[in-house]
Amino acid sequence: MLPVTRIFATLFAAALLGAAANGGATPAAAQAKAIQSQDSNVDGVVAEITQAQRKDGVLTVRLRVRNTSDAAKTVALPYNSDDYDKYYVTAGKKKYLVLRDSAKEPIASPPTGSKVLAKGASYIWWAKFPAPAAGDAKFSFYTSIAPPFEDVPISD
Amino acid sequence: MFRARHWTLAAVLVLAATASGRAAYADPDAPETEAAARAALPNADVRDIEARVRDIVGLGRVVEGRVTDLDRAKRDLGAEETDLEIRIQLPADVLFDFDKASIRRDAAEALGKVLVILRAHTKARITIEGHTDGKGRPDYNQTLSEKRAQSVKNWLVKNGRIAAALIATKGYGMTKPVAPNTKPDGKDDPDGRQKNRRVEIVIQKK
Repeated sequence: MLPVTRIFATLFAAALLGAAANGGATPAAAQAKAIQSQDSNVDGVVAEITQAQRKDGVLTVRLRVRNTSDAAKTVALPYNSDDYDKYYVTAGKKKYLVLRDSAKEPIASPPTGSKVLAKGASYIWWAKFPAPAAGDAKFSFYTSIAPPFEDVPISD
Repeated sequence: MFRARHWTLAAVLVLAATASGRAAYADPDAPETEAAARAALPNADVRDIEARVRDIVGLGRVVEGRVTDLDRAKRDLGAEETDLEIRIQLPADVLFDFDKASIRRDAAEALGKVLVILRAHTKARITIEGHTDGKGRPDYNQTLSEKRAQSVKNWLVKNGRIAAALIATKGYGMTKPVAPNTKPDGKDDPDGRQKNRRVEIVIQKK
């Protein structure tokens, strides 16, 4: 392979990998066991927490929405920067909002707005929050797509 | 020349890879994402739970406000409500220009009130029905009624961010009049036809 062609191939691969990763759902994540599960606000769509991990002062939460119905369903996920404030954690006497970088961008799944889930399809949404204090073993997770998740165990 | 063209293409590809949707936060487990999260911790937005309690009190006020707005919207639109459904009848003359299927700008007020009702019933199934008067060819009126129902759906989805999957549309053309199109002596009945030119929005609560 010519050097220039090899460079193109590498760059193409990098671009494709970047695009593929935007969904935030690897096959393993899509199959991960649910820690807590409940019906979402959309009939036939189940909302599940698949990860609640505390590490280095950061709590990573993965939320899977899964279409269990026989028809395509639409779930309204964060559409703009402000929407991320509707997804937050409470533990002890504190409320924790999604972490934001210096540009105020949420450190979370990119905004998608309405997400269409085909029959049987799922989508992984994730966000990083300041971790609750070490003494807090459980937290509540509030979203705009399902009733609150209560007493979600934190893994360290 | 050949090489310059290739390097230009390479630069474009690099930009494409970089700009493919905030690649830094594409993966929660990526080291750069974790580093960004750790760096954000000093400025983390952590609020005292007391503020949350005050927010809930505020939310209660908002809910009360919504109920008021909801009642007002139902009353203004003349909505008919049963335990199972809410039926809203909108005159086509308010929504569309003559023989057109595109929404008039000044229809936003009426449709905005429809949105107030829809937002109070987020789990409801919605059906939008288009109806025409009895004048003209049945096949033409059928198509017009379907297009008008679809236009109302499009408006609600675009302006109200209502999930398109929740809304079904149906055109009935001139087949379901709510008033006579002609008077008993066979003459044209403009008032009756005006009532027949309509869009009905059915919100199934259960």
